[in-house]
Amino acid sequence: MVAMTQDRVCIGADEVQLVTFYCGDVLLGLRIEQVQEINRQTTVTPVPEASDFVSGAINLRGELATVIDLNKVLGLARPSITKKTRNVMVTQEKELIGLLVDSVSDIITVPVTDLVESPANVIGIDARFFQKVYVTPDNIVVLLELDEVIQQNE
Amino acid sequence: MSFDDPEIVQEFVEESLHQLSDVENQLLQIEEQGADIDVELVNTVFRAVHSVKGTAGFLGLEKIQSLAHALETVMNLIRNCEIVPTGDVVGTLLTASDELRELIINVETSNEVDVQRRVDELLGIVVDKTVLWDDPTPTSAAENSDATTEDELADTVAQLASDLEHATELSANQECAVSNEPPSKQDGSVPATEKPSDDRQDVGAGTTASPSSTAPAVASTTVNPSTASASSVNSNSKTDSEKSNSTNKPISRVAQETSIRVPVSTLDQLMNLAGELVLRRNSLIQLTSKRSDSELDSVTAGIDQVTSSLQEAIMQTRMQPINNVFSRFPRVVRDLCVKLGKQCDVEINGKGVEVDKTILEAIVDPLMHIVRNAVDHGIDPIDERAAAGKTRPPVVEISAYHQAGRVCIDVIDNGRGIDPTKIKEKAVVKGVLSGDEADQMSDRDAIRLVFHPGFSTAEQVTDVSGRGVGMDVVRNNIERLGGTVDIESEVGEGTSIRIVLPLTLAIIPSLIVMSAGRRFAIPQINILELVRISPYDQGKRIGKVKNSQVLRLRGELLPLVRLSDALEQPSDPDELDSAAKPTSIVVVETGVCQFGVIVDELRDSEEIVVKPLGQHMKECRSLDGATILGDGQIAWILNVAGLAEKCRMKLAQEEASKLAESVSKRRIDDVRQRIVVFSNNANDRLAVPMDVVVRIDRIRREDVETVGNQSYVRNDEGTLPILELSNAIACNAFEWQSRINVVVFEIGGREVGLLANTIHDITKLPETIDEMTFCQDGVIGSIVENGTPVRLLDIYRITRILEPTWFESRRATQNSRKTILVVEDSDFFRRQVCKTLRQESFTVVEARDGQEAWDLIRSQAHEFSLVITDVEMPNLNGLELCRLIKQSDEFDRLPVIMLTSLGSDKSIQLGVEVGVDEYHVKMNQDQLLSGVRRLLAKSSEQNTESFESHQLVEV
Repeated sequence: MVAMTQDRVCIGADEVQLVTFYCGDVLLGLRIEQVQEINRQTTVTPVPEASDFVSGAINLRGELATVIDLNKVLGLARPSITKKTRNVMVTQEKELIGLLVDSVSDIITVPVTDLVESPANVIGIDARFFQKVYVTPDNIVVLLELDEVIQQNE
Repeated sequence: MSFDDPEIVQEFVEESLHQLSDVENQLLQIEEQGADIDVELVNTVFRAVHSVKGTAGFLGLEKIQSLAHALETVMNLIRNCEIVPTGDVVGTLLTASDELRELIINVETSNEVDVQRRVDELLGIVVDKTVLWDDPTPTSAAENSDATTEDELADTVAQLASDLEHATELSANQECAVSNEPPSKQDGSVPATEKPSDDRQDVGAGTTASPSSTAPAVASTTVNPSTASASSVNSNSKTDSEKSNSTNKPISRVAQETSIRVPVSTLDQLMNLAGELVLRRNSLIQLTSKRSDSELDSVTAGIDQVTSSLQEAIMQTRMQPINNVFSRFPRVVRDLCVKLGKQCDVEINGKGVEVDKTILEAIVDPLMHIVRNAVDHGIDPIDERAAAGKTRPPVVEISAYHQAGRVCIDVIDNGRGIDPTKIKEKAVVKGVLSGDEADQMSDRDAIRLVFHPGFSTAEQVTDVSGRGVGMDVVRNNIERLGGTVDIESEVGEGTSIRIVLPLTLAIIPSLIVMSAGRRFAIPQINILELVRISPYDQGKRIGKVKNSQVLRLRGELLPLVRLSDALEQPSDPDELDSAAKPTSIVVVETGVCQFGVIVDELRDSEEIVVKPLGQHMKECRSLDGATILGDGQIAWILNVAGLAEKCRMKLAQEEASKLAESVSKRRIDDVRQRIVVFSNNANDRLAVPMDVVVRIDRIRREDVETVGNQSYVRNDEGTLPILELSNAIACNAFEWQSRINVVVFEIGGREVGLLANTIHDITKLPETIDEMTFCQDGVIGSIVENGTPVRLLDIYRITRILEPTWFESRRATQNSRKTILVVEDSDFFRRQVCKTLRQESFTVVEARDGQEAWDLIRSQAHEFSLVITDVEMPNLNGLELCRLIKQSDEFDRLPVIMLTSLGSDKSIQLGVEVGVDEYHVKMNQDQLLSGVRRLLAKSSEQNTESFESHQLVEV
């Protein structure tokens, strides 16, 4: 992960690097500095009494990390856990949180100016979870609002 | 305000707060001593304030400096015995020191705060004092001046110069306030050029007499400090600076050598890492135990040991003396008393008891609340106390001590106490209880109602306590820490509150249990006992009350909850038909209720490292945290209070206890003896009365050693002799297992053990006891339990058979002269007691109830020396009988022994009221006999007859 952050040095001041991943058919992205690591630790310990979207907890090198099912948060259908399922680990207020995604796609570098306000017709996800999108020739990357995703208060 | 070097400022803040931390208590002590001051104590405060002033001046913190200076001025007057530290003076000093601390904490904005009022208040003391002051004594100065080093003098003089510079500007009318108070002193660390204060009064108070004449002289002597004129002018200030310098420096040097300041975050990190290490060590131990490699084993053992020590040492860094919290209370109580117009002393014990920092911080508020309550509600005003005839001065006692790996904090006052009737009334008014419930509730439980939400006992809501946030918040806070709180109170005597806390929150001993294929940890602090119920017994032991399961446990009904249901766990597919397995129940308690948790399996007891829950798990009330087990898996730590709340356990328990009450009402005589049923081989089932059992030890077979024909168990306290049952009564041989139980009794002040292979049950003695079938010496009789005959042993008789030398031969002839009346409606117990007494050659007369007994006594057909009576009997009960005896003119000297079951405190109290001489537990013959002898000896003495008392011989 350190390497990733250092890569940023090589990119231009007006560029950002995005980690992109799939939930169902939707291609999502997070800024690379928001992501601590990506792992395959998909066997979780269920949390009794927790909300539906909390898939469980994992032991990440001695730290307790909550794993959130991103599909459920975004209101997407939940495909079963496959070989491609990954945990995108992020840190929020010093707490480790894993986002369970269906697969990881790529790391892309894009000019800041290419991040645009989302068109209204986007993909059936609650608008509060994203603000900007990046349109590639053949797809659209939805840039997640991490705080909104994590601070689910039901 | 910004500073060039924030680090220096931070250092100043930390150091100053440290220096001021004790000032409060020191001031209180000074107040206590009054005119009879302890100069060293005053100096300590003086020095603290002084060094704050110095550094503040250096950093340009003007307001802090001027307030500190004013404080210092007053302290100096106290030190010189020029003013007496009365309550008012100390009050002003306390307020000022509070404000000073406040300023230091908010150092950035301190220069914008207006401190003039405080300074004026302090200087007001100084001005007042000049009226009283009539004997300035600057005489000693000249003698000391020789000793003064040039450096110190230079500082002092420079200091004086700056002060005088301002002083000369002062108007003449302020000179009346001038005293021989020394100018502010500087120690070496602070540049001699103190920032001129913008507060003239401040400086004015610190000037020496006749400023106009000395000013030029001082100005010149700053260059040459040894000039005589300067030293004569500053006589007093020199001695002062000398004192402060000489005493201050060594202290700070020592402090530097013995401790360093470390950020708490570093300690937390260390603690976490140590926790990790513990987990890794556990994994390692698990791994090594699977292979047999002795080298690896020894390395692992080494790591195990070091890890444990390391963990302990790191834990120690987090431990702080509880005095950090306790030290606030004298002040709190003092202020409260002033406010409320009461008087109250504070007694603090166990200052040195150390508690984890986290717990210490969290306990401040609850404890503060309790102490304030004690003063506000508890302590009664002096006139009220006098009216009640209380001679002890009002006191709140706060004590801390360790007990069984926990910390106990007691807050005890000797005030009014809490009236359970009032509480009940209020509970009914507030709708907490129904009238019926209130009537049935015991006083103890009624007092516990104060922990109920929205309960305040003060008649009026005061601004001191009783602001709606009540004891329920206190209880919640304490329970959140994994602790408990309980209250006891006696009207007119006072109230005592006990808080029990774990030593640390970071690592807790827990029991690991399985539920639906997952592991959970239950903190040991919550666990009362573990119960395992065989599939055979399930129908009998587990019942249903209004859809909720209950466990029959020693005559009580305990609500049950299945953990997997409570947590709504999906059922584990691997779980086999549970009906075929024994049910494991963990009996837990929270401050308010007890209940049983049904789990699938009990695992090991482990010391677990607590990991806090993430933000998404805050709503999981049944969970308290998580831990990572030796194999890297996560286990949730159960929050027993949360679980109880979720399952509405309290209600369930109340229902169950009501049911139990009605059950016991139906069978009035439910105070039957409990017996321990055990077996030593496949055939014989045996039982002993529970009340005579001291404890049951579980030991390894190897622990039993035999010397000659005497077996014994070696334990910490020495050796415990083992009774060989087969030598005393006819029974089959003991079948040895790898682990066995030892039932321990106390006979004649010594402990003896009886081996028991399997402990089957602790049950109530049935009403029908067969005394014929298994009749033999050492066996009282037999009962039928679960279709199997069980022989009830007479442990005293057996001891006597096996160890006759322990008992002295009885003087039969003398005993036979004594006639004892035994009153007991149960044939079985009466026969037992009579048999015991007859074996001792007493003459025994029997009566079936109190009336029969009373008739016998009045008839004077026998000359009774003693009456032994049961409590509950038809026609006339034991208490009434005793009352009749003790109130009569002829028989009031006849001693009465009452036989009772354990746990009936109330009847003991009633008995004391009617004049019962001694109480004994049924079937504890040993005690009964010694009681009989004691009472007979006593009455013989009274009758001036010679009577030789018989005691067990110490072998």
